[in-house]
Amino acid sequence: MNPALDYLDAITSLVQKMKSTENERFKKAADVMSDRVAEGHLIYLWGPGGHSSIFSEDAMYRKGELGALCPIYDPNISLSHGAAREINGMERVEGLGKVVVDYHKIGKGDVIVFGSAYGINPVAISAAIECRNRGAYVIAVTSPSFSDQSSYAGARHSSGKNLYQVVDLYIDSYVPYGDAILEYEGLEHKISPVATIMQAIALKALLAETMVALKEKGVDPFTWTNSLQAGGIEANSSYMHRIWGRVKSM
Amino acid sequence: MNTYLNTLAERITALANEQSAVETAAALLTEAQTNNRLIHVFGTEPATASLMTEVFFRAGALTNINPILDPSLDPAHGAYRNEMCMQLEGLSPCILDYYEYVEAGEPMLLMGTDPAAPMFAEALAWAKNKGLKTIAFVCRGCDCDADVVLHHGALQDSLGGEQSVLLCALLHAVNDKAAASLDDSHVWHGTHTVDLSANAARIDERLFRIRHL
Repeated sequence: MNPALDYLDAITSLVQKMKSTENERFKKAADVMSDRVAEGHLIYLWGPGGHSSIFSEDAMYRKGELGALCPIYDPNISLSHGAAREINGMERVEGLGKVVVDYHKIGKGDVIVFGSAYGINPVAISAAIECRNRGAYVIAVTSPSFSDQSSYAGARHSSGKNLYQVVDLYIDSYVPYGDAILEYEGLEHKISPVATIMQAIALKALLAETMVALKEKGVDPFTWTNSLQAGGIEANSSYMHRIWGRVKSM
Repeated sequence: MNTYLNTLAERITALANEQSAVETAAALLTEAQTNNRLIHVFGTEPATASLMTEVFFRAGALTNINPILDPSLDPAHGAYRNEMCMQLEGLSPCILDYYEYVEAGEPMLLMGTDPAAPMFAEALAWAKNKGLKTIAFVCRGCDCDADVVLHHGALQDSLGGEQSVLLCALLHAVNDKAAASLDDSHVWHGTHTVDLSANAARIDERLFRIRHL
């Protein structure tokens, strides 16, 4: 047995699948996102679920990452206030999706990227529907095959729909049903989940595509400098002050 | 009445001695509110931090109150952790620097049991360095270098329950005195809670300016 290498092989295999099918969707999504940034909009990012919240946290104020992002950090939909509180309860409160969208004033002309590997929870789906109703363009990074196979009846949106079915465009993160990916004799269940990694890889790929698309459209994308390096805080401060008041999570 | 209530009643009555300071402080709040400037409030310990919500987004409270609500002093993130945080030198300016809309001339209300404690003393120094008009709420017998100092009447070593009630009364006295001199567009409308529909425009104007709204 070589679990470490087995895990890396499994991730590599999933990334290969993503490479072989998702390029067109990456380009389409990046085209929309770069258009909106060029118009002066920010791109909202939200991982509306327990571990999914890492999706939006990872991209914020980070060296080499696009500045024109508005990640949503909601205290109800976050592991930082209790994992069981969020996963067993909060993400099933359908109304919270609308509250969060309303609070951040997402509306016409905006674009939002939802990151939810399972793509089934009521908050994610109600928020995506609300964003579309308000005229925003809605993208999801999600795993449709996971959603379709899901039998988690108690954690579904009242419409019975999955996230990928209520958005304008989705990117398949290829998270396999069940999430955990390694199986060994003697272990009762599969081990080692992949959702966070696959979702993050898809988002990083999408943002890379977006930054280059912006440049090709004649707009220099602002990217963050590491604030720990000499001059880093100063390099970031001008852009930071431009988005103060627009990005609550800054 | 028991001893606790008797003592409180006496202390609250004695707050009348603070009338002059209440009026001075209220005038600073009125001026800020009239000019659509923010009024910053910082409770420098967990107990005083919780009192900020007494005058934040509450029916009858001034609309431009900007509370400094930080996890360092919020028991939701650990009461024991709070106590360790409040002893740290250098934490107070770090918390305050995060608030982007702070401009010279705006009032800042500082509340604390011990003005010499790092969280309070460094916050006061930070505020003065920013050119803010400082209003301190401190215990009887304490003093500090703020522009206005209000004494809530409890001794520094009195039980916390007494301090909280008296400080809360004094805080409301300042808010209410300022509100009484303004038209009702300057306060949140509602009865026991803020009426979201009636305040929709006021909320929209402040949603991204007041960090915790």
